[in-house]
Amino acid sequence: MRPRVARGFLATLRDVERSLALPLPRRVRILRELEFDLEEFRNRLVADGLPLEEANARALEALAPDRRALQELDRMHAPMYTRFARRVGGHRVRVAERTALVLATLAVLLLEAAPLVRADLLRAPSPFLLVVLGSGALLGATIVATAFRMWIKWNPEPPAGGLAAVLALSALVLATGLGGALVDLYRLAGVLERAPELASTLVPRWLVRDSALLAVSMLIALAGGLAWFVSTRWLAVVSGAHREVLGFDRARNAHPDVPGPGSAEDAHDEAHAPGSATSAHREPYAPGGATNAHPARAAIGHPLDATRGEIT
Amino acid sequence: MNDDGEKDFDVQGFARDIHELLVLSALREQAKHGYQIALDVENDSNGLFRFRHGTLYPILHRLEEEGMIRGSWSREGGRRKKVYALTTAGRRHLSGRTSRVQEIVSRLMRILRHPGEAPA
Repeated sequence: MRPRVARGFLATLRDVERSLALPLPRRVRILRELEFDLEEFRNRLVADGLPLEEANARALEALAPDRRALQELDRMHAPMYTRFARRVGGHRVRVAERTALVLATLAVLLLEAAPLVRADLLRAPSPFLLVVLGSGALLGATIVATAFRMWIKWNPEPPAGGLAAVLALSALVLATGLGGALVDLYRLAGVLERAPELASTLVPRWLVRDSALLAVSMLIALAGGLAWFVSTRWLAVVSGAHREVLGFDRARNAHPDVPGPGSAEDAHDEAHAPGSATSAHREPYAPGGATNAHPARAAIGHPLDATRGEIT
Repeated sequence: MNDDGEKDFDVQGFARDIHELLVLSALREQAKHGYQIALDVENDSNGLFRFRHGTLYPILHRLEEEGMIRGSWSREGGRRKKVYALTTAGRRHLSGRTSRVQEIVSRLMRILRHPGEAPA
């Protein structure tokens, strides 16, 4: 069973999490490292005979990053794209992003159309095939944009809207393909009802045209579905790790005697978490234990402090 | 650059060097977790040096990025933990910078103990 004071760490971890504007996987890695170190630091001090509360406070004082440490971590772990964007300037990057998105859409359209042109399937296509190709190009652009936001730009927040759009466009493409083939078949049946002698000409043509429609729509929908599946799985794994570290819906941090996360007690912990990011503006926590009484202690703070003649 | 062709002494950089050297030195014998590094630095210096306010992590992560130390993750009792080990580059850096710190400190002591004397 975990000691009660672990909840103090939870509040600090949440503070740190909120203060880091980093991609979720990087935030999770930092939080995991911090969580383990805080607990082990505290446990070691307790084993050395320090009272639990004091050990807890000492661990937080030593390891919980203050505002400046968080800023440094933020700067250090910023994705390569963010660093590049900061150097180049926001406006120019936005223009470049939009241009790249338009080019990506056109590229997807060309990639879709090229095999169809080569197979001579676009000479007299089903009208639905053009809708499928257009939606497919949009889907491709959405996938590119979402992947860009998730794995190159590393947006801190998961792109829920982008993923929903990928799924919706994949469904639209598939529905257009299947529905279009049925409508084409219905029309063919109507024509053949009036002129059955055209069957030998129209049926093979319908077969080729709508096979292409079905094949293209299913392939595009499959690619979209796959992209959606991979992205959501990845997000689920990272979000799961995130929830695990921060103790949401996890029994690991729960204690039978205390209310769950989000309670009034949490708010109290949060407000009194020494060394936490939100308390960074206050005076640094000084537990004042026997080990703090070293007359010439040089607390290792920020290198900048040394220029003011004090290493604290 | 000064007259002897040395780079001007950078107090801020020196303080950072000290922090980095303390971390590298704590890892000299074996790989350790972040908290162990913090505790060992404090214990080895008899409480003279203590990491505060999480300043350890930017130092650790910068050293890792620079290839001086290598961080690796493992799992223990359902928890994931990160352990750091000194690399060959880190060992070299530690040795080189230790000599530099020694030189700076000895120059400083000479100035403090014998003010007004020109350095030998």
